[in-house]
Parts: sequence; structure tokens; C-alpha cells
Amino acid sequence: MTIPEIVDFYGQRQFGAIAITDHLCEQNTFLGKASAYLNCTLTKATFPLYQKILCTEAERAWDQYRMVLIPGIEITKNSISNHRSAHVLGLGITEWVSPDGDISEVLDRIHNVGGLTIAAHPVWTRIYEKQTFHLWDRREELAEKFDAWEVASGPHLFKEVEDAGYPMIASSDLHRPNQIESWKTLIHGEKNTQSILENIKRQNLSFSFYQEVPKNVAAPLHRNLSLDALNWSADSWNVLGLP
Amino acid sequence: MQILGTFWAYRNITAKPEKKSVYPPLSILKPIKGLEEELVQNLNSFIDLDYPEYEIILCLDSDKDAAYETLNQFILSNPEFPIRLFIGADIIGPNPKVNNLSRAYHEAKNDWILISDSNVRVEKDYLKRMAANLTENVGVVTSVVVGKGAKEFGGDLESIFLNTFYARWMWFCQKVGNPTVIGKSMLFSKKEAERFGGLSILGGYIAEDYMAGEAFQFLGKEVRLSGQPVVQWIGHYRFKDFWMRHLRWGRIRRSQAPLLTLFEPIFYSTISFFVGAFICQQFEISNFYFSILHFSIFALGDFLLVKAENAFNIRLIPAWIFRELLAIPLFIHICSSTHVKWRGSTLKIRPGGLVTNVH
Repeated sequence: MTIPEIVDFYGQRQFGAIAITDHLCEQNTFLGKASAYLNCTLTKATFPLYQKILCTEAERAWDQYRMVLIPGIEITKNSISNHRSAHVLGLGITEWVSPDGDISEVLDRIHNVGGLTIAAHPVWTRIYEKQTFHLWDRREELAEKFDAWEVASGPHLFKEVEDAGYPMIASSDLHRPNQIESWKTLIHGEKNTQSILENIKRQNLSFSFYQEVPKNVAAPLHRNLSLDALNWSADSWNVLGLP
Repeated sequence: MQILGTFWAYRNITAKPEKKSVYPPLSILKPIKGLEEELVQNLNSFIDLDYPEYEIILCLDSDKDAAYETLNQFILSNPEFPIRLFIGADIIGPNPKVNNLSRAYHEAKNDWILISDSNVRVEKDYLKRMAANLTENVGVVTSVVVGKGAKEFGGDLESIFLNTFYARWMWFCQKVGNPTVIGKSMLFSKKEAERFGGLSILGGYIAEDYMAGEAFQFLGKEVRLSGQPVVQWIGHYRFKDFWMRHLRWGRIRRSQAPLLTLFEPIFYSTISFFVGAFICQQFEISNFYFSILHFSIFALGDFLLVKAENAFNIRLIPAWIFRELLAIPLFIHICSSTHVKWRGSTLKIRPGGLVTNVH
């Protein structure tokens, strides 16, 4: 989906806010370079273009749908080993952030440009796909550097994240329209980027499962709910929604 | 790939032009640097085109430019036609052409902008054929460039390169979903371009045309290729000019579309011959017969393409042979460095088409 398509997709469903976070792969690893060759990642060259489009689409999203669009990136460190792979979301990012180096340094860079750090799908995603366990393996060391950990990515809740007591967030990790049915974050606060980021940090939020058929929309979920078992898969855009 | 590329190019170039009932008013922006050969004849081809409403804006860096007097004369000799001359460049990035165009881009009367290089010559129905491609989903329309009017062997090489290899490559890329935009002929809506920052963003790249195509596709818009090629009037053109230009274009291509560039040699008759000959050997098929068949297909395809472009002349035959032989050394030279020389500057091209001025 293109950025304008995502805006219309969520705007027409009356979401209050979305975050668009395209993949930004490491530049100096084999897989990162291959992604750049295959045009599957943002690069330093395409980043200004991406930012500008997010900026103009954010204006359109607000004018047309009264929906906030938060600009972001998904720092993507992929390796053959799941335990060396990590995806980090940076929300509120309007400047280039180098994805290279140790995760700890990358997190500092995101904070230095005023962004919010989120550990994306840090545990088993409950489907058979490439997994990213590196952040969870180092959770004690990195805990203070993350503003939130994904407790749901798509339709599955991650009980181990819920039990760990870290600040949480749920997102749809939507890449295709049929992935819209998923856990969303309800943020209690004003509808603007600054307030949303601040309320994520303060954990002034709750979670809700979004379904396309309105009569089946579930009530906001509380932390002690058990895991559900819907099938789901994803790979490139992440969306945080406020129904 | 050779046959497919040639077929697509031939079929589109010879296709009957589409017609529209409404044509939007256009502003033609012409960046000019120096007094190019047959500049006035090229500009004259843009007067009285078969199109309801358009203006021409000539863009010059400085009134010290050798073309300044000629352009004034050109304007005076067409008093009934809306032509404006803008002098001075806004420095918005390392791309001198974009800097040169910036003022005219902002001052253009119409939303639809057509960037057309000064060495381009067009047919009467050029604008209508470009505009016929405009639909709601189209972001930018571009054209294949055909070389004509060469007066030296370097020019013949340039012509044959443009008329065969580039034409085929552009149509092939278009059809496989990785279209390329050529800045010599580029029509787009300013309002739509502003959604990705317009020229201000494109000025950051050495190949603003390629990035414009990428940017429109980011917005979900199509890149369309007009069936009618534009003519680049080549005139006096030395071998060195030919070599340096294709070195520059090749290195830019490599930085912006590395994967496609990797496959580029397959389009060379020599490389594909070696691959084919190796396969033939495995099946004990005579390499002699294979070579006759292989080069005949290449030559016939290119001949048909050049005829369709109405650009054939007998001098192109030795140029074709020479160009095929030069393709591999040129490709090796392209891959040997990331530096290019352009308009007196040496630039280092970084991945994605970003540039650093070396000196």
C-alpha cells in the first residue's frame, strides 16, 4: 500500500491517529544491502522524499479525516539468526537516524532526535515467519531505553510481554488491507502528535480489538485477558490506531 | 529480453496516437546552458504546436551565457507567442539543471509542467501525444529520446545507443513495472509534485528525472511513456563526448537502480552471445549457426526499431557494430568508479543518486 492509500484506508474507518513506519534496514550488512538493492527499504537517499510525503499526507489526513498521522521508521536489523534480529519503531521521527551499530546506540539516536522507542514484536509472533528475539534476549539491559514494548502485533497478544510489567503498546503491523483486524491502542488524551507520544510514555492507554464488522467490536481489553488465536501475518508498515 | 524489449518499443512507437477531448494548458520549461548547435531550430519546433494552450519559459543561469542574445532574438522573432525568459538560478541543491529551472517552475502560469531540454526537437503533435496519456492515476509522462543529425562518428554512436539500446531498455523497464523517467521530456502536475516537495526535493539528486518517477510512484501514481519519441539533435559530437556522457549516465543508473544495472549486460549482443554459445555447446549445436542467428536477430530488431523511429541512415551500420563492441568496455568503465564529471564539476555519486561535490 502507498502512503496515501493507508491514509484513506484508516481515515475512512474513522481512526483518530495512525503511525506510519516504513522499514529502514541497516546499511552495512549483507541483508541490509540486499534490501536496498531490491528497493525494499528506506535509504538515506529516499528518506527526505518519504518525510515530505508523510508531512503533506499528515496535513491531508487532518483536513480530510481529522486523523493524526505520526511519522516514524522501523529500524530493521535482520540476521539469519532470530536471536540476532531486532526491529525497533521510532515514532515522531522527522530526521534521518542511522540504523547502524548496536541497538543501544540506535535507541539513543532516536531519543536524541525527539523520537519515541518501541520494541516491535519482541517475542514469538504466534505465526511461522521470521522472528526477532534480540530485544527480548537483552530486555533487562535495554528496558530503560524503550518507551514501550509491543504487547500485540496484529491479532495476537503476547502474554510474556504483558507479564513482564514493561510499558506496553499494541499495533496492527498492517501491510495489507486484510490485516486490519487486530489489537489497537486506545490513547486517553488530546488528539495531536505530542500528546499521543506523551501518553504512550505515561501509559495512559488501553487496548481494544478492532473488527471490520461493527457489531462484533469488543470492549476495551484489560491486561489480564488471555491470548486469542487468530491467524495473522505481516511485513512492512506498522499502524497504531485509535478507533 | 532483446526480442521482448524491441517488440514493445516497436509496437508502441508505431501505434496510432490516442486522442482526448480536453487538453489541459501547459507550461513548457526549457533549461538552457550555452549556445548549443541548432538551438534556434530546436526552439522553433516548439512554436505553433498543435495544442490549444501553452506557454514557453526559457531558463538561463546568467545573462553572461553565450545563448543570451540568441534567446532574446528568438523571443523578438515570435512576438505573438507567450514566451518568457528567466535569468538566474535558485541554489536548492547540487543539481544545476534543477537550480536553473526553479524560478520558472514557481512562476509558471499553468499547473501542468513540461520540462524539455534545449537540444530536443519535436513534431507538431508532440504535446497532444504527451497529454493523451494523462489520466487520474498518471503522475508523470515521459518520452524515449531518439538521436538524429549526427555529423561525426561520436554522434553516430550516440544516435545508435539512444535509438536502439535506450529505447528498448526504457520500454522493457516500463513493461516489467520499473519505469524510468527521462528529464529531456517530462510532463507532470505541479500540484501533485508538491505532495512530495516538488523541485525543492528533486534538486537534492543528480538524476532528478529518475527520482521524480520514484516519488510519483511513492504517491501511488503511474509513470507513462509516450509512444512518440522526441528527437535529440546531435550535430557535432566527438567520441569523447559520447563516452563521457554514457559513463555519467551509467554511473547514475548504477547508483539508483543497481539491480537493473546488474542485468543490463544481458541486453548486449556480445554478452548474450557468449551465454547462448555456451548453452549451444552443451547441446552440441554449432556455434557458427548460432552466431549467425543471434546477431541477425539483434541486427534485425535494431534495424526495425530505428526504421520505426524514422532515424535510419547508412552510417549507423558501422556505428552499430562498433557500439556493440564497446558495450562491455563501457560497462566495465562504468563499474570502475563512482565519480562523474558534469558541467565542469567532479561529483561523487553515492547510493540512491545523492552526490558530493569533489571539486
